[in-house]
This record gives sequence, C-alpha cells and structure tokens, in this order.
Amino acid sequence: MLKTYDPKNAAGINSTIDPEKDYGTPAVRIDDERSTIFVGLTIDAQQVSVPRGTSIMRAAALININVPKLCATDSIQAFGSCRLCLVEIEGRKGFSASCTTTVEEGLVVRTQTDQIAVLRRNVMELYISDHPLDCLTCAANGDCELQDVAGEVGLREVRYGFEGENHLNVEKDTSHSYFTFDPGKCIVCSRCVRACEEVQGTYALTVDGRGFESKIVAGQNEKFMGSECVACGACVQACPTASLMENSVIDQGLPEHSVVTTCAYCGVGCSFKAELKGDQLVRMVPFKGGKANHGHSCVKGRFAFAYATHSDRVTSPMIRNSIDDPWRQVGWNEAVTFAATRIRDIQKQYGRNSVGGITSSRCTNEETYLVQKLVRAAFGNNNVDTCARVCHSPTGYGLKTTLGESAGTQTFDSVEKADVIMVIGANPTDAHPVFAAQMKQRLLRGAKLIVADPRRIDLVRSPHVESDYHLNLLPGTNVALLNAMAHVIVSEGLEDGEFVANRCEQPAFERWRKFISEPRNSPDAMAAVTGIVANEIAAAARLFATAKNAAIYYGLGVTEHSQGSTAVMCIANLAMLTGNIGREGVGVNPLRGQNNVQGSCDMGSFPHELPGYRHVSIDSVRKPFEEHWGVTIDNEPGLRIPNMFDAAISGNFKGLYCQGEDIAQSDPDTQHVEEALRNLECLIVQDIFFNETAKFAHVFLPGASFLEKDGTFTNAERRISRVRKVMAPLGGKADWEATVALANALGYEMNYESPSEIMDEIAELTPTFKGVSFELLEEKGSIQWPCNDEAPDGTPIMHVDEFVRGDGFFAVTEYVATDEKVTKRYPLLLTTGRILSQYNVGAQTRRTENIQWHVEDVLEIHPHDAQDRGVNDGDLVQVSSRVGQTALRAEITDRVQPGVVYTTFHHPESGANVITTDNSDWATNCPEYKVTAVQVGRAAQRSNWQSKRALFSEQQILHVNEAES
Amino acid sequence: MSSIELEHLIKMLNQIADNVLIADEDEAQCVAIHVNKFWTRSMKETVAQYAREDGSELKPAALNAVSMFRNVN
Repeated sequence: MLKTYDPKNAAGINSTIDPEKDYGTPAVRIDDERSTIFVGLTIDAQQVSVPRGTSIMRAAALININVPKLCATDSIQAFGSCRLCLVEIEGRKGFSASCTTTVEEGLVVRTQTDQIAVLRRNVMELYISDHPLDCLTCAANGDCELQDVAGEVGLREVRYGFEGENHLNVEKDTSHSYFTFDPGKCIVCSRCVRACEEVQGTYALTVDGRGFESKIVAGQNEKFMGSECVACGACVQACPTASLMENSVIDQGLPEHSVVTTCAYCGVGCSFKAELKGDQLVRMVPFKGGKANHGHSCVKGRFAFAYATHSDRVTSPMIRNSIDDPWRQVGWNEAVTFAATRIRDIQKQYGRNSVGGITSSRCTNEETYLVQKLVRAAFGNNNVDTCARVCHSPTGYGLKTTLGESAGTQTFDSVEKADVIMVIGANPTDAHPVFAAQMKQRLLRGAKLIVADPRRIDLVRSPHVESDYHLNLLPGTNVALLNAMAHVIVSEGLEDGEFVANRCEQPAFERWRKFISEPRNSPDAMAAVTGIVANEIAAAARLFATAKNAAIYYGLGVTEHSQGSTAVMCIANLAMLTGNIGREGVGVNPLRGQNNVQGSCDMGSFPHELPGYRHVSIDSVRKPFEEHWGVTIDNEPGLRIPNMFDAAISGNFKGLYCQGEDIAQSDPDTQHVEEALRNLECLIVQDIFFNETAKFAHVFLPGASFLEKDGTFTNAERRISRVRKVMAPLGGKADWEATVALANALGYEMNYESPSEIMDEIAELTPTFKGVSFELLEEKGSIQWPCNDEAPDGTPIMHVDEFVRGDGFFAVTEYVATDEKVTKRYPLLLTTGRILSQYNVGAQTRRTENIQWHVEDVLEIHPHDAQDRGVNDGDLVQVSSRVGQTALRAEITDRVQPGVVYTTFHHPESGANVITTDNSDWATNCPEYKVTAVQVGRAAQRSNWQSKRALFSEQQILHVNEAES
Repeated sequence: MSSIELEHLIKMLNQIADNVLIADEDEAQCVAIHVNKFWTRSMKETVAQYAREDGSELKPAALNAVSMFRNVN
C-alpha cells in the first residue's frame, strides 16, 4: 500500500503515512508548536511542503525519494553518524547529512550526484571492510539494511581487504532466550541504544569506548540477560543488520507473509504484524500503524507467544459425570449436547435462574456478546458477568455516575500534551509497559509526575525519570487522600470555577463543596489515616490544580477496594474540579488489565446491563433485543460472580458456562470459590489450557487463541481493533463457533457465518456502536467508540462540549474505612499486583520463556518487618489472613513500606488468593484484593492448602491423561 | 440458603448504607435505588425475609430500604 505524498493533504500529513515505510526520521511531535507551520522546499526538482522541524531525509521520503541511510530510522531521533545520507544543498558548502539537517523555506536539495555517489560508496566500503561476508548463511539475509544499502550505493569492491584489525570474531551474547547479540555484525550505528532510550526509556544500552574500540554494551558491560534490559525488543527491531536478531528467525528463517492483528495481553491493545511461514508464527513485530502503540511493544506481546502452540493445549472436547471421574474425549456434538442436557435438567429441577455464564475479557467482542446473548436468550436469565467484576467494575459505576459513560475519556496519545501526570494505584511500567514507555518519554520532556502508591513502583525512580511526589499511602486510603487533595484545591481557590459553572450540575457541586470543605477532609485530618504528611498532600494537590493540563491514570490499586467506586468518583471529581476533561492532555484514564476488558463490559457482560451500558429494567432498552433475539428478557438484574459463588454454596446455583476465565485462581478467597465450584452440577469450562477452574469442570470445550480466530478487541482508550485469524483453531472451533454450537444444542438457534455478522448485530442494537463494522475497521485501522451518526469516525476524546450525562455530577465521597484492619493477630497489610514478564494467572506467560524472569511468586517485605520476624531473604514464610494461609519465599526490600507486604498471583500453587478475603467494593462487589490484614512468619513447609492443592491437581491431571490414552 | 450467603448480603447492604449517600438526602431511598439496580430478585427476597424475621444486624437505612425493594413480596 505505497502511498505518495499529496501536498493538498499536507495539513493531515500523518493520515498519508505508510506504516510499512521507514521515513528515516520521526515526524515533528504533535506537542511541538512547529508541527503546524509548513515550509516549502525543492528536492531533486520536486516541490514539497512539510512541517518546520522535519528533516530533509523525511521530506524526501514523503515524495518517495529514499536517501540511503544506516543510522537513521523513523522511530528515533536523527543521530548523523553513518554519513550515508549526505545530500547537496544549493548555496551551502560541502555536504549535509539529510537526517540531521532540517528543512527551510526555499532550500534546493539534490540527493544524488556523482560526487555523492563516490562518497557513499567509500563509506560503505569502510563498513564492509569490518563486516563478515556470510550473507547467504546470515539470519538477516533478505532483511538486512546493510545489504540493501551496499546494493543501493553500488559497492563493488573493498580495497582495504579483510585482513586488518577487525571485530569479526567477537563472542556472541546468547544469554537471552528471545534474541542473540552478535557484536561481529554490529556497525555501531547506535540505533539500539537510542531505541532503548527514546522508544522504551530504559537506558539499558550504551556505546562503550571510542573510535575503533566502540562497542554496544548492555548494563554495566553485562550479558543482556543480566542487565536491566526489559526485553521489549525495540533494539532488535531497530537493528539494521543481524547483530540483534530474534532467535526464532535464526532458527526458522525469515517469515514469508504477515497479518496485522491485536495483542491478547494487556489493555493497551498493541497492534502487531504476526509474521509467518505458512501457518507457523515466526515472530511478532509491533505495527507502526497501530494507534495505541505506534510500533512499540513489550516482552509479552513481542516475544511471549509460544504458549499458543504449547503441548499443554487441550484440543479435544471432554466430558465427565463427576469431578472424581476421568475425562472422556468426545466430539463437539456430543460435548455440547451433554452440556445442554445437563443445563436444561438443572433448570428443570432448580429453576430458570439456577444457571449462568461468565464472559471472557480475553475473548473478542463478538464472542463476549454471544455468551451474554446465550445466557439472556437461551438460559433465560441475566446471570452473566465477566472478570471486570474483579477489576474495573467500579470504573463502570463511578464514571457512569459522574460523567455519564463507563469508559476512559482519552486516547493514549493524549499523554503527549499532559503537563502534570498523576498515577494512582497503577504500575504502568509492569502492567501497561507500552503506554508507560510513551508516558516516560513525556516525563523526559518535562511533564511533572505525582505517584500515589503504597509501593515504590519503578516510575517513582528510574533512569532519568523521578516523580515529583511519591504519596506512599497506606493500602485502603485512596479516598482519604483524594478527598484531602480536593479539600486543598477548594480551600485555596484553585478550582476551575468557570468549568464547574458551565459544565457541572450546580446543586450537586454545592453540596459536594460543602462536604469537601469540612475540616475532617483536610490533609491535616487525613495525614494520620493515609500515612502521608499534610504538606506533601497539599503540595501535590497544588501541582495538580495549577497545571495547564493535568491527567489522572489509575488502575486496580484504585478499584479493588471496599471503596473502589468511591475512589473512581473522587478521581472524576478532581478532574472536573480543575477543568481537566474534554480535551487532549487531561482526563480520567483507567488502565485496563486484560486486552478486552473494556470490550467485554461494552458488550453487555454485566448482569444489570445490556450492550452499551443500558439497564435491563428499562423497557425501551430491552425491546429491540427482545425483538431481534425473539425472547423475553428478564427485567431484573442477574447474579454477579461473587453472588454466584454464594448462591452455589447455598445450593440455588448449579450450572455455569465459563469462557476463558480462571476463577479458581484469579478470584479472592480461593477456598470459598472452590467450595462453590464443587457444588456445581454442571461446570462448562472453555479455555485453551486445562486451568485451575477446569479441575472442577464436567465439560471442557477447547478454546482458541487470539491467533486462531477473527474478531475485535477494544482497548483501554475505547479503541476497537481487528483480531485476525492466522492459523486454524487447534480445537476445531473458534470460541464464537463453540458458543453457537452450545446455543443450538440448547435449542436456541444461532446462525452466524462470521464474526463480522455478529458485529453487525451489535451495531444494530447498540447506539454507541451504530457505525462500527468490519468494513469501517478495514478502512480506518481502528475506531474509538462512540461511533455513530454524530461521530462517524469515532470519538478519540469524550465529553468535549458536554458530558455524556449532560452536566457533570459531583458525588459526595465520604471516606469509610475498610473493615479489613490490622490487628494484633494480623498486623501487616498485604497488597497484590502483577509484574512485567507475567500476565494475570500466568496461564499464557508461564508457558513461554518469560518464566525465567519469575519462576515463583514471592512476598515482598520491608527489612524492619523481616527483622522483627527473624525472616531472611529467600526464607519460606507463612502468610496468614483470617480466611487462609499460604507459604511463599520472602524477598526483603524497602520497595514496600514498613507494615505493608506485597505479592503477585501468577502461579496457582502460590495461593495468593487463599489469603485475600470476601471484602468487596460497596457498589459493585469488586473484591478488595489490595487490602488484607495478614501475619507473616517463618515456615518449615508449604501450607495445608498448598499440599491439598498439589494432590488434587495431580489427580485431575491424571484424569485428563486417562482421557487422552 | 446458607448462612454465609445471608451474612454476605447483610454486610453488603450495610456497606451500601454507609457509602451510598452521594447526593440525595433520603439515605434509605438511595440504598433501595442502588439495590434495585444491582441485586437479583432472590438476593432482595432473602434480605427482605431476614428483615421481616429479625433484621437486627441491618443498619437503620438498610432496614428502611427493604420496603422499597422492587418486585419483592
């Protein structure tokens, strides 16, 4: 899709950019005021007009004149070291490097003359004199810029010979699982070093030595694996030779075709080119045209894809009568008939409401929509929920109440215009690494940073980035902190009175102002509660309120609390109070955990809402669905996941269809969940692996990975992107096809030829999706909803002129302390989170080489707390809460504050959720994962639960093996 | 119905009563609106029955909200 530059369209220059082409240097940033001033020049007798600040190299590339280059690539700033891109400029002496020379009005440039040709050939000759001539056996053969440029400049001989001192036999660094560093093929262009700095912001690489001694080193002259490298792969992508090369390409050779698709890890929703040979995936290369990631990736998205073809994949449907029985492999028909018969029998015996379903935030919008449709239409109740229940359901409630729509307000690119960034209860460098990289670049250019987190997350202090304030509050006190900040802003008159007067509901605001002004909400009053000195709170509040553009980014450290919904409303209040909503650089930005958690919520996965967040009790909302689906929909909400567990233990809930979700590992109070699952008479699990939940199941339907199906994911910025099938489903059916089969077996007819048809139905029934179709997605690449007649190209920024609910609503946000308090018996607070290399329950990432970065979950504990308990680093410790016990290895670190311990939940045997309790958000029942009172002490062995689980797991694996034999 | 289910429902309802007053003055009504929006018929019925038979663990606003539960006998 080569496109030529059209000056008529110059203002919209980015829209004509071909993401497959390397323009040599990046476009002038949108936050650079020069980006709107255009200058005209002549290059090789062609006229071109480009924004001031653009390089001559890029201007030439825009009119398809491609100046040879080696050290330049358009993901990083120009460096001017390789001297291949020299051009002649009329009236100037000598030759200019076209990458570092910017355009000026009226310049006349020649990119190719006889003299330039000689110069370039001489430069190439020097490069090649110290480069192995093993092109035919080189991993980069056919994908090597050095090879290409040698061809372009017409290099025919190397007069210096190859006998002199050289770097040809330097030892390779093969320490890394995903790529190899071969210094012998390095031309020291420093593209890797600059990619590490300018794209990823990790500063793990450097050029060591000078002149002939110059070499690329990782860390303090370490192996890649031992350095602070985060394996994002930006260096590998930037390398113009085979010096940094994916091991998969070294092993298999270059891919022969590629398909653009969307990553199935976190809520950033990066766009990737899946590069294949036949149906074998060779590598994932982040797609430059992806509007969420702009060609960047993290270690998970780029490298951790081997799980998709792991030998643990279960590819045949299985059934059994009891969880004590071995499994029996059956065909799809028999499996869905068995499941349907059981579901109908249960409903006959226990009532229509005794069954339900859980939709998956890892599946596509179309699949999620079908599961909730199956529950509402075929099961005949509203007992459908999704894993957002346990992560961002408070975001849905809080933002709907205050702003009118259950979604973030911005694009990721909006951060480029933020002057003050507040990160609360989120750890972007670990959980949303690609967005974190973009945020870091903005911080490096001067934006201020406020971090509110009980732990010292990497953003608080990392190379060249340091937070202005780290409010290391005690777990469970977000509302107290946010109220205190608002108190300062109101009492010091720092609010944006005009915005509040014009855009917000006045009686509600007045009531809120009275509430927030009360002394009990002051920083002085809240200092003891939050553990942060009053001055710090006040200073952070002032910084936030006085910024031109201030943006709040938050994650599960806000939502997963007994006051999760209240904290979300506090955040919306702060944004409205300071007028930071409705334009770029500001806003309320929930960082979503799973790839399609926004989408699964949009698609009507909550038991009280039909697609598009519309309540089931409203007749006019139900009517079009009832007509289209040919059923009557219950006008009462259904059970949420925790309510399902309670009802199962009571004996009123007996059947569950669980797609792509591992509730036995991910949900809190594991022993309670296990008891509920054991009480079910029909548990249907659909997953790519035999996960923890499947151990309690009666029907197993093989799931399909994101590579095996078509559909769409919606990321945290409401961006709908295509997921494209690159290989056949290993289990024979894509997930949507499995749901269709189950619905038909239940006697509810579903006929879809493709996910595109399902999206058409969604668009027909959902006002905010009215304009969405696969055709439009093909044309635009991606679309941010709402997309309808009023916004045919989608809506990057929400609430621009008015809020979705009309006037913004200030909710009174009283701080109510959680019941989960430290006591003599449980004197520490446990908080949980995730790390960079692993994803959620780890089912995917544990089955990749990522495992080497995190072989087990550990308990972070402060040195003081460790000393008090006689705990040494690496000791096995028992962690006990009022609901359970588990044993983990201790890691002593002052990253956590005294009184706080931290762990992750990526390994099932860790049992992190054996300790977490049934406490939940008051409004949504989102569990309080982030606050559990615990005691820690040295342990001699694993806990009882861990021993029992090991036995049970072993037995269940035997049952699976019996099915296969 | 298990005692744990009722225990959870009582806890949830009291928590709503503690938190729900985001705007209006009638706390019980706010509780009822919230419950009607998010609770199933059976959850409401279970608590309503408890309120009729005992109700001692419910906070006043929670108890007063019960009569405003929709579709509950």
